[in-house]
Amino acid sequence: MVTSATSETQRISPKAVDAALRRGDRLVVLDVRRREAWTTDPTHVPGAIWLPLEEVPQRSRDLPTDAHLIVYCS
Amino acid sequence: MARWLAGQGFPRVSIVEGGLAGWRKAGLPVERLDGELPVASDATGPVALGEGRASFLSSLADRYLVGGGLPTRRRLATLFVDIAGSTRLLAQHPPERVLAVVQRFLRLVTEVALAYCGDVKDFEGDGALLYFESTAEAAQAALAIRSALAAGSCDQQTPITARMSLTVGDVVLGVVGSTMRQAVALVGPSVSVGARLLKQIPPGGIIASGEAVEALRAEAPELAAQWRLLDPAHEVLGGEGITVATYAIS
Repeated sequence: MVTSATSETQRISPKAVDAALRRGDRLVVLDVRRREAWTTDPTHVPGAIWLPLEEVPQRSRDLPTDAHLIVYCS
Repeated sequence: MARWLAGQGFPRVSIVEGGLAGWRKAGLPVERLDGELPVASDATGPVALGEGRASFLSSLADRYLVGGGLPTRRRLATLFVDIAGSTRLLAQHPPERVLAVVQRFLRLVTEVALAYCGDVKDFEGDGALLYFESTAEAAQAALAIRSALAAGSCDQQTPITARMSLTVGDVVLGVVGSTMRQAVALVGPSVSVGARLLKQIPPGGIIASGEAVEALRAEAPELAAQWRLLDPAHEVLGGEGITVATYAIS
Protein backbone atom coordinates (compact mmCIF):
# COMPACT_ATOMS: atom_id res chain seq x y z
CA MET A 1 0.00 0.00 0.00
CA VAL A 2 1.45 3.35 -0.94
CA THR A 3 -0.79 5.60 1.04
CA SER A 4 1.91 7.78 2.45
CA ALA A 5 3.23 8.38 -1.05
CA THR A 6 0.13 10.40 -1.91
CA SER A 7 0.36 12.98 0.91
CA GLU A 8 -3.37 12.74 1.64
CA THR A 9 -2.85 9.87 4.03
CA GLN A 10 -0.20 9.09 6.57
CA ARG A 11 0.71 6.57 9.20
CA ILE A 12 0.07 7.59 12.78
CA SER A 13 1.35 5.87 15.89
CA PRO A 14 -1.08 4.38 18.40
CA LYS A 15 0.34 6.69 21.07
CA ALA A 16 -0.39 9.74 18.92
CA VAL A 17 -3.97 8.58 18.40
CA ASP A 18 -4.39 8.01 22.11
CA ALA A 19 -3.03 11.46 22.85
CA ALA A 20 -5.37 13.05 20.31
CA LEU A 21 -8.34 11.23 21.81
CA ARG A 22 -7.38 12.41 25.28
CA ARG A 23 -7.06 15.99 24.03
CA GLY A 24 -10.52 15.77 22.56
CA ASP A 25 -9.38 16.40 19.01
CA ARG A 26 -12.08 16.15 16.39
CA LEU A 27 -11.38 12.75 14.97
CA VAL A 28 -13.22 9.59 14.09
CA VAL A 29 -11.55 6.25 14.67
CA LEU A 30 -12.72 3.64 12.20
CA ASP A 31 -12.27 -0.08 12.72
CA VAL A 32 -12.45 -1.47 9.18
CA ARG A 33 -11.85 -5.10 10.05
CA ARG A 34 -13.95 -7.59 8.21
CA ARG A 35 -16.83 -9.29 9.95
CA GLU A 36 -14.84 -12.52 10.42
CA ALA A 37 -12.00 -10.64 12.11
CA TRP A 38 -14.40 -8.88 14.42
CA THR A 39 -16.04 -12.16 15.34
CA THR A 40 -12.67 -13.65 16.20
CA ASP A 41 -11.59 -10.65 18.22
CA PRO A 42 -14.47 -8.48 19.46
CA THR A 43 -12.19 -5.90 21.03
CA HIS A 44 -11.63 -2.45 19.64
CA VAL A 45 -9.96 0.85 20.25
CA PRO A 46 -12.11 2.74 22.76
CA GLY A 47 -14.51 4.98 20.92
CA ALA A 48 -13.89 3.39 17.55
CA ILE A 49 -16.68 2.91 15.06
CA TRP A 50 -16.84 -0.44 13.34
CA LEU A 51 -17.25 0.00 9.63
CA PRO A 52 -16.51 -3.32 7.92
CA LEU A 53 -14.27 -2.85 4.97
CA GLU A 54 -16.80 -4.27 2.55
CA GLU A 55 -19.34 -1.64 3.60
CA VAL A 56 -17.12 1.42 3.51
CA PRO A 57 -17.97 2.40 -0.08
CA GLN A 58 -21.67 2.41 0.69
CA ARG A 59 -21.43 4.01 4.14
CA SER A 60 -18.67 6.55 3.71
CA ARG A 61 -21.24 9.26 3.00
CA ASP A 62 -22.27 9.02 6.66
CA LEU A 63 -18.82 10.04 7.88
CA PRO A 64 -18.12 13.66 8.83
CA THR A 65 -16.10 15.42 6.19
CA ASP A 66 -14.47 17.85 8.58
CA ALA A 67 -13.00 15.33 11.01
CA HIS A 68 -9.66 13.60 11.01
CA LEU A 69 -10.38 9.99 10.07
CA ILE A 70 -8.18 7.43 11.79
CA VAL A 71 -8.38 4.00 10.21
CA TYR A 72 -7.11 0.75 11.59
CA CYS A 73 -7.31 -2.85 10.54
CA SER A 74 -6.24 -6.09 12.14
CA MET B 1 -8.84 1.91 2.51
CA ALA B 2 -7.41 5.14 3.90
CA ARG B 3 -6.34 6.17 0.43
CA TRP B 4 -9.77 5.41 -0.94
CA LEU B 5 -11.35 7.61 1.73
CA ALA B 6 -8.89 10.38 0.88
CA GLY B 7 -9.91 9.98 -2.74
CA GLN B 8 -13.53 10.49 -1.76
CA GLY B 9 -12.73 13.97 -0.46
CA PHE B 10 -12.02 13.37 3.21
CA PRO B 11 -9.28 15.92 3.83
CA ARG B 12 -7.32 14.11 6.50
CA VAL B 13 -7.07 10.36 6.78
CA SER B 14 -4.49 8.41 8.77
CA ILE B 15 -3.70 4.75 9.32
CA VAL B 16 -2.85 3.47 12.78
CA GLU B 17 0.61 1.90 12.65
CA GLY B 18 0.30 -1.82 13.24
CA GLY B 19 -3.47 -1.74 13.42
CA LEU B 20 -5.22 -3.11 16.47
CA ALA B 21 -2.22 -5.32 17.22
CA GLY B 22 -0.01 -2.22 17.25
CA TRP B 23 -2.42 -0.51 19.59
CA ARG B 24 -2.15 -3.40 22.04
CA LYS B 25 1.60 -3.61 21.60
CA ALA B 26 1.83 0.04 22.65
CA GLY B 27 0.20 -0.94 25.93
CA LEU B 28 -2.99 0.98 25.25
CA PRO B 29 -6.35 -0.29 26.48
CA VAL B 30 -9.00 -1.87 24.30
CA GLU B 31 -12.69 -2.28 24.89
CA ARG B 32 -14.51 -5.54 24.50
CA LEU B 33 -17.90 -5.62 22.94
CA ASP B 34 -19.95 -8.74 23.45
CA GLY B 35 -23.28 -7.41 22.31
CA GLU B 36 -24.29 -5.07 19.56
CA LEU B 37 -21.62 -3.59 17.36
CA PRO B 38 -21.05 0.17 17.35
CA VAL B 39 -22.35 0.39 13.82
CA ALA B 40 -25.07 -2.07 12.97
CA SER B 41 -24.89 -3.60 9.56
CA ASP B 42 -27.65 -4.99 7.41
CA ALA B 43 -25.25 -6.98 5.30
CA THR B 44 -25.08 -10.65 6.20
CA GLY B 45 -23.07 -12.03 3.34
CA PRO B 46 -20.58 -10.99 0.72
CA VAL B 47 -21.29 -7.77 -1.09
CA ALA B 48 -22.45 -8.46 -4.60
CA LEU B 49 -20.42 -6.95 -7.38
CA GLY B 50 -22.51 -3.89 -7.96
CA GLU B 51 -21.98 -0.29 -8.83
CA GLY B 52 -20.53 0.67 -5.48
CA ARG B 53 -17.99 -2.12 -5.43
CA ALA B 54 -16.92 -1.51 -9.00
CA SER B 55 -16.39 2.14 -8.23
CA PHE B 56 -14.33 1.26 -5.19
CA LEU B 57 -11.96 -0.97 -7.10
CA SER B 58 -11.43 1.29 -10.08
CA SER B 59 -10.82 4.42 -8.03
CA LEU B 60 -7.65 2.97 -6.56
CA ALA B 61 -6.15 2.48 -9.99
CA ASP B 62 -7.41 5.87 -11.10
CA ARG B 63 -5.63 7.53 -8.22
CA TYR B 64 -2.34 5.96 -9.26
CA LEU B 65 -2.73 7.26 -12.74
CA VAL B 66 -3.83 10.81 -12.01
CA GLY B 67 -2.18 11.41 -8.66
CA GLY B 68 1.01 12.77 -10.14
CA GLY B 69 3.08 11.14 -7.46
CA LEU B 70 4.66 8.54 -9.70
CA PRO B 71 7.22 7.21 -10.09
CA THR B 72 7.87 6.71 -6.44
CA ARG B 73 10.31 4.46 -4.62
CA ARG B 74 8.97 2.67 -1.58
CA ARG B 75 9.93 -0.18 0.68
CA LEU B 76 7.04 -2.58 0.29
CA ALA B 77 6.18 -6.12 1.17
CA THR B 78 4.79 -8.09 -1.74
CA LEU B 79 2.69 -11.21 -1.51
CA PHE B 80 2.13 -13.35 -4.58
CA VAL B 81 -0.90 -15.62 -4.30
CA ASP B 82 -2.24 -18.15 -6.73
CA ILE B 83 -4.39 -21.25 -6.82
CA ALA B 84 -2.38 -24.45 -6.67
CA GLY B 85 -3.37 -27.00 -9.27
CA SER B 86 -5.49 -24.80 -11.48
CA THR B 87 -4.54 -26.87 -14.52
CA ARG B 88 -6.04 -29.89 -12.81
CA LEU B 89 -9.19 -27.90 -12.09
CA LEU B 90 -9.51 -27.08 -15.77
CA ALA B 91 -9.10 -30.74 -16.66
CA GLN B 92 -11.84 -31.77 -14.27
CA HIS B 93 -14.39 -28.98 -14.63
CA PRO B 94 -15.84 -26.83 -17.40
CA PRO B 95 -14.21 -23.41 -17.77
CA GLU B 96 -17.33 -21.67 -16.44
CA ARG B 97 -17.05 -23.60 -13.21
CA VAL B 98 -13.35 -22.83 -12.90
CA LEU B 99 -14.00 -19.16 -13.58
CA ALA B 100 -16.51 -19.10 -10.73
CA VAL B 101 -13.90 -20.63 -8.42
CA VAL B 102 -11.29 -18.11 -9.51
CA GLN B 103 -13.74 -15.25 -9.03
CA ARG B 104 -14.51 -16.30 -5.48
CA PHE B 105 -10.86 -16.90 -4.72
CA LEU B 106 -9.76 -13.50 -5.98
CA ARG B 107 -12.59 -11.76 -4.17
CA LEU B 108 -11.45 -13.39 -0.96
CA VAL B 109 -7.82 -12.45 -1.64
CA THR B 110 -8.77 -8.86 -2.41
CA GLU B 111 -10.89 -8.41 0.67
CA VAL B 112 -8.22 -9.90 2.91
CA ALA B 113 -5.55 -7.67 1.37
CA LEU B 114 -7.60 -4.56 1.96
CA ALA B 115 -8.57 -5.66 5.44
CA TYR B 116 -4.89 -5.89 6.32
CA CYS B 117 -4.12 -2.41 4.97
CA GLY B 118 -2.70 -3.79 1.77
CA ASP B 119 -3.72 -3.52 -1.81
CA VAL B 120 -3.94 -5.51 -5.02
CA LYS B 121 -1.39 -4.62 -7.61
CA ASP B 122 -2.42 -7.05 -10.32
CA PHE B 123 -4.68 -9.94 -11.03
CA GLU B 124 -3.03 -12.47 -13.27
CA GLY B 125 -4.89 -15.59 -14.27
CA ASP B 126 -5.80 -17.38 -11.07
CA GLY B 127 -3.54 -15.31 -8.88
CA ALA B 128 -2.80 -11.85 -7.60
CA LEU B 129 0.07 -9.68 -6.53
CA LEU B 130 -0.64 -7.94 -3.24
CA TYR B 131 1.49 -5.28 -1.62
CA PHE B 132 1.73 -3.80 1.83
CA GLU B 133 3.70 -1.14 3.66
CA SER B 134 3.95 -3.47 6.63
CA THR B 135 5.54 -6.90 6.33
CA ALA B 136 3.62 -8.04 9.41
CA GLU B 137 0.33 -7.10 7.79
CA ALA B 138 1.37 -8.97 4.65
CA ALA B 139 2.20 -12.07 6.68
CA GLN B 140 -1.07 -11.81 8.59
CA ALA B 141 -2.94 -11.51 5.31
CA ALA B 142 -1.23 -14.66 4.02
CA LEU B 143 -2.29 -16.56 7.11
CA ALA B 144 -5.82 -15.19 6.86
CA ILE B 145 -6.10 -16.32 3.25
CA ARG B 146 -4.84 -19.78 4.13
CA SER B 147 -7.26 -20.04 7.07
CA ALA B 148 -10.19 -18.90 4.98
CA LEU B 149 -9.41 -21.44 2.29
CA ALA B 150 -9.01 -24.20 4.86
CA ALA B 151 -12.40 -23.29 6.28
CA GLY B 152 -13.93 -23.64 2.85
CA SER B 153 -15.07 -20.05 2.78
CA CYS B 154 -14.00 -19.69 -0.82
CA ASP B 155 -15.71 -22.63 -2.45
CA GLN B 156 -16.96 -25.66 -0.51
CA GLN B 157 -17.87 -27.64 -3.62
CA THR B 158 -14.43 -27.28 -5.15
CA PRO B 159 -11.87 -27.07 -2.35
CA ILE B 160 -8.73 -25.29 -3.39
CA THR B 161 -5.38 -24.50 -1.89
CA ALA B 162 -3.13 -21.58 -2.62
CA ARG B 163 0.56 -20.98 -2.82
CA MET B 164 2.01 -17.74 -1.52
CA SER B 165 5.39 -16.05 -1.52
CA LEU B 166 6.28 -13.13 0.71
CA THR B 167 9.17 -10.80 0.00
CA VAL B 168 10.10 -7.27 0.96
CA GLY B 169 12.39 -4.67 -0.54
CA ASP B 170 12.68 -1.35 -2.29
CA VAL B 171 10.41 -1.12 -5.30
CA VAL B 172 9.57 1.62 -7.75
CA LEU B 173 6.01 2.29 -8.83
CA GLY B 174 5.44 4.00 -12.14
CA VAL B 175 3.01 4.27 -14.99
CA VAL B 176 3.48 2.01 -18.00
CA GLY B 177 1.64 1.76 -21.29
CA SER B 178 0.41 4.48 -23.59
CA THR B 179 -2.29 7.07 -23.29
CA MET B 180 -4.69 4.47 -24.68
CA ARG B 181 -3.96 1.88 -22.00
CA GLN B 182 -2.15 2.60 -18.77
CA ALA B 183 -1.33 0.68 -15.66
CA VAL B 184 0.98 1.02 -12.73
CA ALA B 185 4.05 -1.20 -12.70
CA LEU B 186 5.77 -2.26 -9.52
CA VAL B 187 9.42 -2.99 -10.17
CA GLY B 188 12.12 -4.24 -7.85
CA PRO B 189 14.29 -7.25 -7.16
CA SER B 190 12.06 -8.42 -4.34
CA VAL B 191 9.07 -8.53 -6.68
CA SER B 192 10.95 -10.61 -9.20
CA VAL B 193 12.23 -12.97 -6.53
CA GLY B 194 8.73 -13.34 -5.09
CA ALA B 195 7.29 -14.27 -8.48
CA ARG B 196 9.95 -16.92 -8.95
CA LEU B 197 9.71 -18.34 -5.44
CA LEU B 198 5.99 -18.83 -5.94
CA LYS B 199 6.69 -21.42 -8.62
CA GLN B 200 8.94 -23.45 -6.36
CA ILE B 201 6.67 -24.25 -3.44
CA PRO B 202 4.16 -27.06 -2.90
CA PRO B 203 0.38 -26.50 -2.79
CA GLY B 204 -0.68 -24.85 0.43
CA GLY B 205 2.82 -23.56 1.09
CA ILE B 206 3.78 -20.07 2.14
CA ILE B 207 7.38 -19.13 1.52
CA ALA B 208 9.21 -15.99 2.58
CA SER B 209 12.56 -14.50 1.78
CA GLY B 210 15.10 -14.04 4.53
CA GLU B 211 14.71 -10.27 4.24
CA ALA B 212 10.98 -10.58 4.84
CA VAL B 213 11.50 -12.68 7.95
CA GLU B 214 14.11 -10.19 9.16
CA ALA B 215 11.54 -7.43 8.73
CA LEU B 216 9.05 -9.52 10.67
CA ARG B 217 11.51 -9.95 13.51
CA ALA B 218 11.59 -6.19 13.86
CA GLU B 219 7.85 -5.64 13.40
CA ALA B 220 6.27 -8.68 14.98
CA PRO B 221 8.72 -11.08 16.67
CA GLU B 222 5.96 -13.49 17.64
CA LEU B 223 4.97 -13.78 14.01
CA ALA B 224 8.58 -14.15 12.86
CA ALA B 225 9.04 -17.03 15.28
CA GLN B 226 6.52 -19.10 13.32
CA TRP B 227 8.80 -19.28 10.28
CA ARG B 228 11.40 -22.00 9.89
CA LEU B 229 14.45 -21.82 7.72
CA LEU B 230 14.17 -23.87 4.55
CA ASP B 231 17.37 -23.00 2.78
CA PRO B 232 20.00 -20.45 3.79
CA ALA B 233 21.07 -19.94 0.18
CA HIS B 234 18.23 -20.87 -2.12
CA GLU B 235 19.07 -20.38 -5.77
CA VAL B 236 16.25 -18.42 -7.36
CA LEU B 237 14.90 -20.25 -10.38
CA GLY B 238 16.02 -18.38 -13.48
CA GLY B 239 17.68 -15.82 -11.27
CA GLU B 240 21.11 -16.19 -12.87
CA GLY B 241 22.85 -17.15 -9.68
CA ILE B 242 20.82 -15.00 -7.28
CA THR B 243 20.40 -16.72 -3.93
CA VAL B 244 18.15 -15.81 -1.02
CA ALA B 245 17.45 -17.41 2.30
CA THR B 246 13.99 -18.96 2.30
CA TYR B 247 11.59 -19.68 5.13
CA ALA B 248 8.29 -21.52 5.38
CA ILE B 249 5.56 -21.08 7.92
CA SER B 250 4.16 -24.05 9.74
